[in-house]
Amino acid sequence: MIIGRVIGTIVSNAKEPKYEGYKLLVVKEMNVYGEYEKNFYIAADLIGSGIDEVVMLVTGAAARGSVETNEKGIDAVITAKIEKVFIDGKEIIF
Amino acid sequence: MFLAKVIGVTWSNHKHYSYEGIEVKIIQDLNPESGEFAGKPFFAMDAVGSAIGETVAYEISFQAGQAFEHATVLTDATITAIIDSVNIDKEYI
Repeated sequence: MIIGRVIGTIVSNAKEPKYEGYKLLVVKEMNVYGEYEKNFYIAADLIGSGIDEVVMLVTGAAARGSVETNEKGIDAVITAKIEKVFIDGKEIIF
Repeated sequence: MFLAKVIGVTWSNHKHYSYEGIEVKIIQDLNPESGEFAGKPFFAMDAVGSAIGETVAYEISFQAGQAFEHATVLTDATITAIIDSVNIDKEYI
C-alpha cells in the first residue's frame, strides 16, 4: 500500500451509478519518508478524510476486497490516516 | 509471495473497520541472492506480528486480503510469514 496527501476533491454528476455515496478525493502520492512522488490518484474515501491529510491507499484489484467496494469497479480506496511513521531509527510526523 | 525486510512501523488513529487490531508495517523488497534491498519501501498489513529488522514474506493484490482468518481485510500487501533462513544452492548464483 502507498500513502499520499489529499489535495483536492472531485465533483462529478454523470458517473457510474455504483459510485453513489463515495467521496472522490485527489491524492498526491508520497514515499514513506514524506517526499512527494509524481503520481496522482482519484480515490474513493471510506473513512471520511479531508484535505491536507496523509492517507493510506489500497490500489489495484485488492481495492475490491471489502463489502462496500465489491463489484464496484473502484481501484483506489482510502483506508487509513497515517499520523506518524517510525523508520530508520527516526520518527516522521506527517 | 515475495521476500522483504520490515524497516518501520506506523501510527494511525483513524482506520477502516476491517483493520481492527492489525498493525501496518513498512517493508522493503529483499533480493534473496544478494541479500540487498530492492525497490522502494511501502506499507503492508501484518498478519503474523513481525518486528523491525525481521525478514518476512508477503502477499500482494487480491489474495492479500484473504490472509486473515477472521475477516476479509481491505489490503493489497500482507506480511504472512516470518522467515528464519533462506538457503540458495550455490550452483544457481
